[in-house]
Amino acid sequence: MPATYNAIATTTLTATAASISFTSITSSYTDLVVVVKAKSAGNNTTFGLKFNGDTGSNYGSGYMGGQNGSTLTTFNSGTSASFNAQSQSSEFAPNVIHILNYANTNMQKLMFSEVNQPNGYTLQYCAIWSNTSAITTIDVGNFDSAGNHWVTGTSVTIYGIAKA
Amino acid sequence: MALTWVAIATTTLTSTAATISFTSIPATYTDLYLFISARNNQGGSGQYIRYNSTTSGYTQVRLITDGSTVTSPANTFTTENFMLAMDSRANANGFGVAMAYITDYQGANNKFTLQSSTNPDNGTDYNFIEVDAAGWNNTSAITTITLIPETNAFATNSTATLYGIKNTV
Repeated sequence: MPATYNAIATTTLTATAASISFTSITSSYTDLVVVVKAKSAGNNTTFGLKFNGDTGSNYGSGYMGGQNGSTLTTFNSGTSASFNAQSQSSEFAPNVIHILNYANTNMQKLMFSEVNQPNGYTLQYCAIWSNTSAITTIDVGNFDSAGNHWVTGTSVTIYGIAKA
Repeated sequence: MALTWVAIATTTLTSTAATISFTSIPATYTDLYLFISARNNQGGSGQYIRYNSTTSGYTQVRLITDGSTVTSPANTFTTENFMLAMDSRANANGFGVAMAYITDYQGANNKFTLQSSTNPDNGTDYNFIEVDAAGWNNTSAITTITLIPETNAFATNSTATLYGIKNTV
């Protein structure tokens, strides 16, 4: 991995909220890492990332994993880059998402993460935002149709990674 | 775990290319880490990685999904190791990502590599995720790494960076 990690911004919820937003993200790094430690008020375990306010069906997501002897896999299109690991239990399940070449205007934006969920599965996630614009805004949220919120204490931190 | 990561070399293609190569890799690190964003320019969802221009001794255990089933296909790659890259038939400007962590690359033992690669797309059938235990049964120090597209050439703007990792303070 690149040589330097710098924390760009961090937010920890002091009240329930549907999402956490980061704006005016600098283009001075090569990659971004988004660390999400989340817990949902509902029974959903997925959350999403939306970039530059794009709410269209311009995202693709997939995963491969295992759960107690079974394999898990899917690829879907959607209105956010979908990831997993928010918890409804006592833990704030972590997810570390790498967003590659986020300011490169020649590439659609690809991201991946590896998840070990406390209640019993491991997943390798990948997602793409079908847009070549530089990412300047990220909304990380609980975008499920049931309208569930993240609970107090949920936190998201964005790190910038610079190539040496 | 390693304590220091240093970028040894990076390549960004300004035109299509039949290979991406890292040569004269110094022996001053403990491990190597290769990070690739690649797209084929003429079909093909994969790329190959070859060491020291040698075309024998490669092994690989694969775990792969197309979004429907997870499989571990019998390995057919013996002249190089395989990783995913974006297919040219996927949406324009999409690039797959591949990572290879090469342990003890200058040691006098066979070489072992952890590989992870993916090429997610939105609305096409060219999505895969792959995790591999890869190996090169050769005791020579790795001094050259060559990336080869599955078909024809790598597309413009494909990038690859080679990092050296030291486990000494």
